[in-house]
Parts: sequence; C-alpha cells; structure tokens
Amino acid sequence: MSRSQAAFSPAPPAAADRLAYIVDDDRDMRMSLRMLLQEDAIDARPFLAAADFLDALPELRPGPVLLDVRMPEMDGIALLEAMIERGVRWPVIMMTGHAEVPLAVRAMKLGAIDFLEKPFPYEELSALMDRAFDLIEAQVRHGGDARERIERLTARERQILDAVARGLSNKEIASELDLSHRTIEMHRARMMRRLGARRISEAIALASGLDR
Amino acid sequence: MGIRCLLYVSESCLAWPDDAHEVDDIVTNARARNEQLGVTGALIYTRTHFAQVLEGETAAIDAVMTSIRADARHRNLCVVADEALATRHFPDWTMAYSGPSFYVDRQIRPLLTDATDPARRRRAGAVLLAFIREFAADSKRESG
Ligand SMILES: Cc1cc2nc3c(=O)[nH]c(=O)nc-3n(C[C@H](O)[C@H](O)[C@H](O)COP(=O)(O)O)c2cc1C
Repeated sequence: MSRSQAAFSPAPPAAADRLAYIVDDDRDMRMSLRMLLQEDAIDARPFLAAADFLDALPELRPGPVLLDVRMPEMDGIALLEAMIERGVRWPVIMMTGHAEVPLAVRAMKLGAIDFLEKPFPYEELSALMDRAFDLIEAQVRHGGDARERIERLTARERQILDAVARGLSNKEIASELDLSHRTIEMHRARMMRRLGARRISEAIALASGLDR
Repeated sequence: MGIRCLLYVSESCLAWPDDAHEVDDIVTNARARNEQLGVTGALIYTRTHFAQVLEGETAAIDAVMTSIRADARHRNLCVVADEALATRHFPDWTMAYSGPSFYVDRQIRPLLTDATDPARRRRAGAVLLAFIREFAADSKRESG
C-alpha cells in the first residue's frame, strides 16, 4: 500500500508502448524473456548487470523490472535496495533458480511484487505483467514526489524524522523532545504513513534525498 | 496454563488507497488489546487478503476471534489451524507484512477454499506459518 505514494518520474506509460526492464547476467534468459514479452506488446530492455541498470536508471521511464536474484558483483537484492535508496519504486519481479523463504521474505519486504522460480510458465508472467502495469498506472495517478511528501508532514513529524535520521532511538527522541515514548511512536507511525514509507530506512532516504 | 495457536486467512473488503489507514487502525487497536490479553502473533495484509497467527490462552484467543469474526473489514474467514502449543513462537504481536505482493498472496489464496484436500491444506498452512514467522523475524532484525 505504501507503494501508492511512490516517488516517480512523470509520464504514465501509454498503452501502446509498454516498457519493461530485464536485469539478468544470463544471456539466454534475457533473450527468451524479451521474446516472450514481445508477444504481449511489451518492449523489454535488457541489462546484463545491476550496475548497468543503475547507470541508466535516471533516464528510464517507469516500468516493471524483471530482476535476477543471483548475479555476480551486485545481486538482485542489493539492486532492489539501491533502487529504493534512489526513490525508485517500480514493480519489481524477482527471478531465482530456487526460492528460499528468507530470500523471498527479504524481497517482499523490500517491495518486490513477486518472486518467480525459474523456469516459470509464460501465462504466469503475462498475467503478472498486466498487474505490474496496473500498479504503475495507479502509482502515477496517486504518486507525488519526495518533496511533496515531506511537505505533508507536521512540524512535530519533521522533528522526529530528523532525529531518526540522526540515528536516535524512540527513547532518545522522547527524552530529547520531552515527550512520552508512546507519543513518539504515534507521531512516528503517522509520519511513516504520510511519507508512504514502509521502512524507516525509506523515510530517511526520502528525507536525505532532498538535501543533496 | 494451556496455550493455543490459531492461524486464519480471510478476504479483505478494503479498497486501495484508503486501505492503508484502515489497516493502521486495525493494527493500533489490535496491538493494544492483544498486549492486554497476552495474545502474541502476527498479521499479514496483501491488499486482497489477510492472514493472521494468534497465540495465547484459550479464553483470550476466543475473545479476540469473536471480535475479528464480526469485523466487516474482511469476509470469508477460514481457520487453517487451531492447536495446542507448548511454547510461543512469537515474542509479541506485529504487523509482519503489508504490501502488494502477489507472491505472498499466492501463499494465502489456496487456503480460502475448502475444496483442497486436508493433507495439502495442512502443508500449505505450515508453509504460510513459516512465512509469517520469517516475516516477523525479519521485521525484528530490521528494527533491532
Ligand atoms: C484482519 C483483522 C485482524 C484483526 N486482528 C485483531 C487482533 O489481533 N486483535 C484485536 O483485538 N482486534 C483485531 N481486529 C479488530 C477487531 O476485529 C475489532 O475491531 C476490535 O478488536 C474491537 O473489538 P470489538 O468490536 O469486539 O469491541 C482485527 C480486525 C481485522 C479486520
């Protein structure tokens, strides 16, 4: 749900040119995925390394990302984290040789919409891509940029975000602001909701993105 | 005193994007009441479904479940498991996951139909429980 407020570059994808991204070090996988997606009129841009995708990211239009978990250098989870740090919250579909529960849970907590075990049936991917594009449309409709979201915070919530970004615990914030622990928790929950952040690290990333 | 562990799944009646606030309300109330009643466990929300584990004394679980069953914010509640427990698996009660993941949803959906055979149902229930535990543990690591 917090994806609703995802940070976003503007233009919503036109129905006619649906754009997606594939990040996988396996050449055969990139090629076959591209061909499969083409059948659904999806133009999938392939990247063979996480770093290449990150380099290109500022120029890319929002689109679903098919992301291989296991890659040399930077793996899929690290790339997902890097995307979040940059405020990019496009639907991410992780792909893996074998799905392990902790890995899947990690990916879901980072906001991935699915975790597919290779090889997966094409129908599954096709339905999933439709829903991923729906999510993008919804994000574009409801999304604001980071600044807009920070501006929605009350003065108190901003104070707390500042303190959290400085690494203070709720208890420390409570004593610094001379408020009860419970009040801090309440403000903090409200701040997270207003920011559309699921994890405190996202809130901090949003806030710090503004200063730079 | 005997401890019980109950796992249920249900269909959400909430609509995006207002569901965020509704779920926040549920969590705020549930956390307070569960703590008071000594109920531990975790809740998962996938935008279309809920799954929840509750651990505690029989009377406490019954009380909470009576409220939850009567709650119009979800429907088609199916109890997947309800059994005696020697020790708790969850140290407290948390919102373990809330998001649009189809993957998490796929762990829940098959459990909503009574049609699946009991052995498969038990297995799917055990997998879902493992997921919820991992989600809760991951939240702990994150905030800890
Ligand atoms: C999916 C879902 C999970 C809930 N979980 C809990 C819970 O764990 N503990 C709780 O006290 N209330 C929970 N509630 C809220 C209860 O249904 C109810 O609103 C609340 O306990 C107040 O109870 P009362 O209406 O019987 O006074 C949940 C509601 C929903 C929709």
